[in-house]
Amino acid sequence: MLEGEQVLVRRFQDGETQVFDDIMKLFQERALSLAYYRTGRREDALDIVQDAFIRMYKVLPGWQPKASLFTWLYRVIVNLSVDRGRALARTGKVSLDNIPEPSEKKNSHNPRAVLEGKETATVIEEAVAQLPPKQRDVFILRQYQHLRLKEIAQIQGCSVGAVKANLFQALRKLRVSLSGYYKE
Amino acid sequence: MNCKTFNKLLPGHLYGESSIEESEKVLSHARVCPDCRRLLDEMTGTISLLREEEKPHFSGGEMAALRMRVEQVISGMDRPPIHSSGPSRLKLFSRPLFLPVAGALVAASIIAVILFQPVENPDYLVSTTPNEVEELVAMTETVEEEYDSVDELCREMDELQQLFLNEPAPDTEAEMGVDNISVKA
Repeated sequence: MLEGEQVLVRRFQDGETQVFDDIMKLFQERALSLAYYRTGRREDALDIVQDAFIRMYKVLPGWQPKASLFTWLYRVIVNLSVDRGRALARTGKVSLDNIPEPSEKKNSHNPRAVLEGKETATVIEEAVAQLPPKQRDVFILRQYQHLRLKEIAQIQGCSVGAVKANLFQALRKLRVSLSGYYKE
Repeated sequence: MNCKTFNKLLPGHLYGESSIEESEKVLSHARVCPDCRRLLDEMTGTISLLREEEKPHFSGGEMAALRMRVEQVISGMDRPPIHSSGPSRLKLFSRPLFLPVAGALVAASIIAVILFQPVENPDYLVSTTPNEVEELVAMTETVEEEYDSVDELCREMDELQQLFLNEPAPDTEAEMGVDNISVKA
């Protein structure tokens, strides 16, 4: 079991730089998931999270323990994703690189999807990828990162009401996209 | 409750973040409104499907490789400045107990100064009663009327001083002949 964020940050600031590995473990899943849904590409997600972790290593010595590190990380990942999207658009790679990956490759980490031959996982990913960025972020943070609505509001710098509205819109669109996949 | 409020409360209800009262409102509205009932059922089905498919997109090996790459990059960087574990001077002021204690000390000092203030007036302070003030004013007016200048008054004072210093010290006021001395030239 990993120690809490504040304890790890304090230990790092006290000179135990080796705990940075534990700090990365604490955030890696959330960060990768967020970056993946932001970019739609596994390689981009890994690169972005790597950059974000390196930046985190630089800011940690002066970090104020009261602030949430994940909130900061979230913003860095969002900014890096936007930058990467712009860079791809400039080089003209965006249209080719945004072609969805073969389902076999996508399903390699999803046993259920492998058993079923494709399907639901890929469809969900595509449906989520089509959501507007704000709604997609709220949905991912609540559905996959299990953050509370209040925490998401803090991360995004908006009200809980706005988070609920975005989540409602996201679920409504997903309901339409996935209407043929769930049981009545 | 109307459908608009139902929509507002629905996300919190679906993710178990609404209060019991809010959930009861959602369910009771869904019982009487067929459209909202359908929306609730479909949303619940969508979330169930999403939960079933909730799997990590990255394997443990990929995450370990990522951390290793980060470690390689940061090992080539300068070590970050180590944070001092001892309390700094500024931190002392931001401690929760500092302000109440400092406030109490200041208040105690003020009370002590008020309570232990000396009652008697010191020797160097000369108290004046209203009568003395009146006499002083009257004397000033007399001097102003009788003398044209300060020099004249000073000359007069010198002469009087000479007179007293040259004569032997009298034992009584009568012997001094105060009544005979005329200030007026």
